[in-house]
Amino acid sequence: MKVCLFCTCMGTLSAALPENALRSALPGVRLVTAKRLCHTDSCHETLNALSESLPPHARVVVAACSHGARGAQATGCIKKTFTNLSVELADIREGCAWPSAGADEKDRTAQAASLIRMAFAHLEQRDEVPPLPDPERRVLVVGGGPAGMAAASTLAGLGVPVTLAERRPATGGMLNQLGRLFPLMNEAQEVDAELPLNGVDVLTGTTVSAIRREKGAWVAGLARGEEKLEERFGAVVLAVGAQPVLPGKKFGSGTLKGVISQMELDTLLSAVERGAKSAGLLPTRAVFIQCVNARSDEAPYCSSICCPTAVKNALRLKELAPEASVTVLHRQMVMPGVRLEEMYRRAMKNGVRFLHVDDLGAVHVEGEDVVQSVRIASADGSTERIEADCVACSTPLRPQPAAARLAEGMGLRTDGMGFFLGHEPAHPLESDGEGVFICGSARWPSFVHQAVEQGRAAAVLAARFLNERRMPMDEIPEHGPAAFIRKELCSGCGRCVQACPHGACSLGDDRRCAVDAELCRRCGSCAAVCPCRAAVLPSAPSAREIMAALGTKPALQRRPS
Amino acid sequence: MLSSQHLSPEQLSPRTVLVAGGGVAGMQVALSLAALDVPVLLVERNAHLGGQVMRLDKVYPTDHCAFCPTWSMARACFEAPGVQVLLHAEVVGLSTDGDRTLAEIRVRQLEIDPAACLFCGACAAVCGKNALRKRDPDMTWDPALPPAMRIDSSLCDGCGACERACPVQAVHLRPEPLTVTLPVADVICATGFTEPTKGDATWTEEFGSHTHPDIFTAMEFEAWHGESRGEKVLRTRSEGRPVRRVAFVQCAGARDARHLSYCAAVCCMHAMKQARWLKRRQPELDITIFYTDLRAPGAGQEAYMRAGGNEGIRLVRSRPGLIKPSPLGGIGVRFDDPETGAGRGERFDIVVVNGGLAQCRLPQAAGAAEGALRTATRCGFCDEPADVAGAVIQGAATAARHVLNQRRSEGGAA
Amino acid sequence: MKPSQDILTARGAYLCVECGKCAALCPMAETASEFSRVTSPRGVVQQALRGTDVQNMPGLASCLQCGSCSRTCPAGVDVAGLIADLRMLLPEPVQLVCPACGTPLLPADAEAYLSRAANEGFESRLSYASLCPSCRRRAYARNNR
Repeated sequence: MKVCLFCTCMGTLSAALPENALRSALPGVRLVTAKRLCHTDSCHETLNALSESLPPHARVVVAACSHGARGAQATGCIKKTFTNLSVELADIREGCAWPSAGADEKDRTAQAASLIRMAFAHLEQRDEVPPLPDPERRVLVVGGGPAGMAAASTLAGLGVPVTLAERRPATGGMLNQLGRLFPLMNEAQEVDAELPLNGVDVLTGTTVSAIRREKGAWVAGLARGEEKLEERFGAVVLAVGAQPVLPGKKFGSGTLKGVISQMELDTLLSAVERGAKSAGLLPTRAVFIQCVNARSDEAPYCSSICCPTAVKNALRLKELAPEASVTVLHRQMVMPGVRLEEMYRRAMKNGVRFLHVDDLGAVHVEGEDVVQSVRIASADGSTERIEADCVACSTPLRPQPAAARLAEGMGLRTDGMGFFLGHEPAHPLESDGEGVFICGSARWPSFVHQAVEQGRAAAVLAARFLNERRMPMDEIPEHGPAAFIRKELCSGCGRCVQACPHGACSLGDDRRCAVDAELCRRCGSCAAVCPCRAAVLPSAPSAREIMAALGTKPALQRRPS
Repeated sequence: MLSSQHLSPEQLSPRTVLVAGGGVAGMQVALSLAALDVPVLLVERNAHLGGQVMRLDKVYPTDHCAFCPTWSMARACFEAPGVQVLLHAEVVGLSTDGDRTLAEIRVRQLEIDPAACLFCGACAAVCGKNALRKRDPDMTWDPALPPAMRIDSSLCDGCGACERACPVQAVHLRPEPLTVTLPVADVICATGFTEPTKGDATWTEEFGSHTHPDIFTAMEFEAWHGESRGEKVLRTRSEGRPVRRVAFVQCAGARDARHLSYCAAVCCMHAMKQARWLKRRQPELDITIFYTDLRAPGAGQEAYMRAGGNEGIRLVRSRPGLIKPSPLGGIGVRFDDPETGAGRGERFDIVVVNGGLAQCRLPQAAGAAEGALRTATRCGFCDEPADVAGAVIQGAATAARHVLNQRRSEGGAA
Repeated sequence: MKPSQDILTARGAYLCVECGKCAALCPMAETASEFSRVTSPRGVVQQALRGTDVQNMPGLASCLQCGSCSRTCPAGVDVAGLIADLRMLLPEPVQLVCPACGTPLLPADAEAYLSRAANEGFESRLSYASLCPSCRRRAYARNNR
């Protein structure tokens, strides 16, 4: 049954398009007028009066103003309350009444009627779309570090079924290795306590071997020892973290005693803070070298956490051994924001010396067996020699090997270093995969506080995805349903398979083509090239619609004067 | 969108969260809360959503237009059933009443209420002075605003015919600001930042901002050189003469114990973005960035910086001491040359002064007792300076924390 | 003699991020032909942090104590104050102090240096030497507007 809700726009629209004229131009359509459909009260009043006489899945065309004016509000208002109706908007105001203000009323009415017929044809076509399978209402979080724990914890708190897979015997990730965290200098254990995992299906000692897309879900292969199983999930949060790069042979690392990584120093400081005897353990003259194996041609990125880590450790060392001297050799100190800049100044006030060097090639660590000093060729030509009994090299983080494996299997892009790519800048946690979110150091080196924030954010986005069945970056709702192929018209020529830039079209065993709705990005290339008119993109006007709109004669005829 | 005519406590659900600030962070909080079934009142003082990002020409590190992603978020906010948007409104005070928060909101009423206007044109039809229009030619980002008729006050003679003709009483020719107090469940402050203004004496003295037309703030320069202006050749604002040399001065008023002690986090990348776009359009331009640390910690940012250096943008590690119009023409910048260690002065046609991005805060209600006031959660730049990606992440995370806290306290009470 | 930790901390020397703003505004950049990275205010701070002996700091001699560096330093390093303190460590007093209030004035060295400069044709620069630091600052600003 066809029902057209004609919004008179408080009488202004019906003045240009009289109700009765429109009714006569639309035989077979039940025309019902409303005062103002964009207004909730008026809208509900009209529909409540109608609802008795409407069959359960009636097709309703809202003939009103354009989507951008108040049309979106009108259709939104109806769709939210009357969820069983198929609703389509026909813009007969900006699209007809106003531009045709000078034309003859009969012509104007005829054009409005065409637009309404077109909308009905569009609705009919939409009904042919095979329904998308309901997403599995389960989320898989891969990685049990702070990002993964935050995501899983948040999802459980929101009432969404979630599984957390962690390859190590326990969750925690970096939280198990770190002591105090910047910028608040709180203990890693406190963060652990803020991320309760009750309600989460925690699978420790479990590796995710592969994830693939299958009929509306992500199928994950989980392996725990000899046990292997496959589970289906509606959404996936990738939080596999990153691993530190080692200093290698730089600056005497591996040959001179006393040359360690910043991470090792961190562990040393944590041990002393927790009660280990400090005598002999703590350095008295420490030199930190920043950007080791980072910000170079081979690794052209800033790992962002190394400067704050160095400052944090400098502060901790000064707290434990106030007489110790700490010098930080840097190419630049990356401490953005309020809290980090404040930390930086606090370290300086505590007597930590920050020395800028343009080129790490000018820095030489000296000593035989044990580190003794660090020689720096200064910009003014002089040489400075700093006595040192400890040199800590700050190195970057790089992605885990698991990241590349998962990316390939799931069709996700990564950057030159292997970090997962989001859709910067407004959708940074959304990857290319439908329902796949990235967070923490797997996305980009993050410190614990950031990883937790990203985990929480990814959880909210995943929950939203499961409810709305679309990614937040596909914000504009007219993207609508995916393309589909009418098998009875398909000749199996395969042009759509060649044309589809997303690999969504494929030739089946039945010599007919089919579209994978999850891969379809609604570009319409298949519909454009199909010689049989079998491929259809529902949201785009088709020849059928246009014919329906035109009827047997053109909509606006110029009468000879 | 909420009309100022319909602003009353009865309009809001008792679970409503007030989000102060409709920039990227605020919009993200609002959309995330709405997705989790929390009703939101999004209060924005400008005529449009999108905040500072909406005023940008391009964003880094993708070099895409700023408008599209911001606009689609704004549209989503207007269309989301759980989000009520109130434009031209400012939160002027917060106080508590038991466990509720009372928000005092001042709404600037316009001649035409954009929420009530049907955009039907009935007013324009009766206006004898052609003062009513569907589009405001001065608003570049007109599509970002909800459609409403606009009055050109210079043509209006106040006859009131439009007021009478409007079928929904959306026209008020003598608007008064309106203050209303609304009880809400919680307040999230996402008020972003402002740049130094003309009246700020400390800035003008030292950095020359607002003293000469060719000394720009970052946002001013964005509007001046942006693609939306349609200029092929960059010209000075003072005389319209073609530009040869441009300088970007970083950390001006930021990382400064005498002004803003923090680092605004976005200026280094923002300057490089503007510099690279200048080079892209006019490769012959001579561009220098004076910096202290060139901070590019985020995804893809260091690569962006290096590319800029490779494109011939001069990077000088020095904080200029003086920025002043030169008697020989142009703007003089005095800095310590890091290579020779000698002080040096150079002249530029345009100088962009970056750094004084001041975080905006919400005021406390006058007379509110100390301790009685519940501090609003802060999110986005006003909490920790962040770029678009950072603001989006902070927004979604803040929404998550709010909902989890609500459920925890509800669970505890039950 | 090397600068003590007390002096360095009291004058905020560790806060220096080597941005060069002090050097940009130092009037000696204009008047001293041997002004260089080392003799600039920034250079003095860095040498002090390095633990250089004060007798090997040429920058101490050129400072006019105008205070522009301290006033402009964003990090809050009191450069002029540091230089004054360091001068006190020199074996021979190179600092003239006001007999009435004790405010450090010109280093004796600088007076000689400026006289030399005067002979080389920088007459106007001598006028700075005859003014107290505040007036010197004003005169410099006036001459360089």
